[in-house]
Amino acid sequence: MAIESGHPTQQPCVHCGECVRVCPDALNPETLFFALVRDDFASARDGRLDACSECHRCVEVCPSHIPLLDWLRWGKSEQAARARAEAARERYLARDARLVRERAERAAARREVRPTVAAALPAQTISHAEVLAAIARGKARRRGKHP
Amino acid sequence: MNTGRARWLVRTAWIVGIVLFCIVWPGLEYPNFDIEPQERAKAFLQLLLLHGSWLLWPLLVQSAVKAWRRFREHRTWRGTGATALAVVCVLLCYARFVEPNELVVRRTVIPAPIDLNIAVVADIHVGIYTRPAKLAQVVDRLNAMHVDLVLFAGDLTYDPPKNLAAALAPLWRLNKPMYAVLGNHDVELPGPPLANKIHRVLAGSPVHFIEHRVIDFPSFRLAGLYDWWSARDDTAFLKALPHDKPLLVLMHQPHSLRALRGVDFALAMAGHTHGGQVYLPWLTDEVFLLTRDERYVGGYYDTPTGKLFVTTGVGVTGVPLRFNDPPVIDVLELRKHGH
Repeated sequence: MAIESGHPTQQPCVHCGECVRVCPDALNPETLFFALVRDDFASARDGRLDACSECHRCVEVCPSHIPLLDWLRWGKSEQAARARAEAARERYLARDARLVRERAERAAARREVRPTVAAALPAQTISHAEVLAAIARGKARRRGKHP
Repeated sequence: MNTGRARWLVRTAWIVGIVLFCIVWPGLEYPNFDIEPQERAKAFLQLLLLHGSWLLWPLLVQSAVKAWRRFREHRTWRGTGATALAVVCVLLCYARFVEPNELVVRRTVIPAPIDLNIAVVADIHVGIYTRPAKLAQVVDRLNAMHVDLVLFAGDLTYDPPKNLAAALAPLWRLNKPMYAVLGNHDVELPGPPLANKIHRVLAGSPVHFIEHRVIDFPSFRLAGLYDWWSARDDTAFLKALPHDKPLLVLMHQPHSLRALRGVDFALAMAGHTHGGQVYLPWLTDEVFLLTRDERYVGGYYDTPTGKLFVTTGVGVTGVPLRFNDPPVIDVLELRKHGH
């Protein structure tokens, strides 16, 4: 983590308030830092993490050499990534619900046009002579249509 | 003409041939067929296989000429490779252009409680691969036969033409009634929703559909079942029939035999398998058993449930090839005192 501070030894925060005093955006880098360490993105958002202009002054004044700007930048990118994931999840769930609904509608439409299941109907027994008569009628009808 | 120019001409001819037979011809025919949206690529590939296979003939000539030249130059390995290619071409040409165009009549004597001659046809699969001309050939052959009963065991269509009435028109020329059931390709398994359309187009024709019906003949009864995959049938109506006459059952898939346990029937007839289309002794039977759990690939079987005849059908699906398994009209000679 000690990249931005350029100092080899980072020490625990002494709560001196220097970073708050120098911040041109009137943020509280100290509370934002502790919120991000706790993975508490809700309070980081309340502390206006997005407003940080990344001027580096908090890092320069920090007596404990805490890489505050690394943390704030990471927090901003992580917050944006989580927001994108949330939007994508909402779109996915909406699409899934739409597909389920459309499938149900198609199935309902098919049920409407389909005849009832044959097994539920009594089987029809007809004689060979009736079949021959039906075929003769059909052929006569076709001859009338296509003379 | 020098060699370089000849080679250039041959290559150009190949490119022109591939474009014509694999793109232009399939593209021109494609709009004539009734294809499901999700099957479009497959249907085009099938048209490509059907027409592109004409290029096997020039490939055969070219590989034969090449083999002759290489052997004359004493380049044995090259010559052997070209010969192998030529042999493969000969086999494919036979399976594509010779055997599917045959139509054999095969007689089988089956011991039964009545004397009856039955012609069984199945799996005509009118569509991309099988054109109405083949249907007309089957109809002409059936019209010339002297049989008591003509049965059609399902699968009239496969990626059917948009004008189904015109494609099935040859069936109106039948001079005897043909009792039929629908097959899996006629009831969207897979395929477009056709069952009602087929029934409507053939209403009043000599083709009479008998799914879930019993036809009462003077000396026997004939019953039809729905396709096994459509799971629409319940054979209770067969169990309820009186036992005074022998019962013949027409179905599409040999699997339907499982629904006939406990039914008193003299003979069940099915199609669906095409006998594998490419029939290699033992191997095809094993493949059917492993991949489809199907013991009854083609022919007559005296099974524990009852007597079953499976016809190997007329048409093709998947690839337009038939080998050692020609299109067939099966004539079953039911005899009281068998053989």
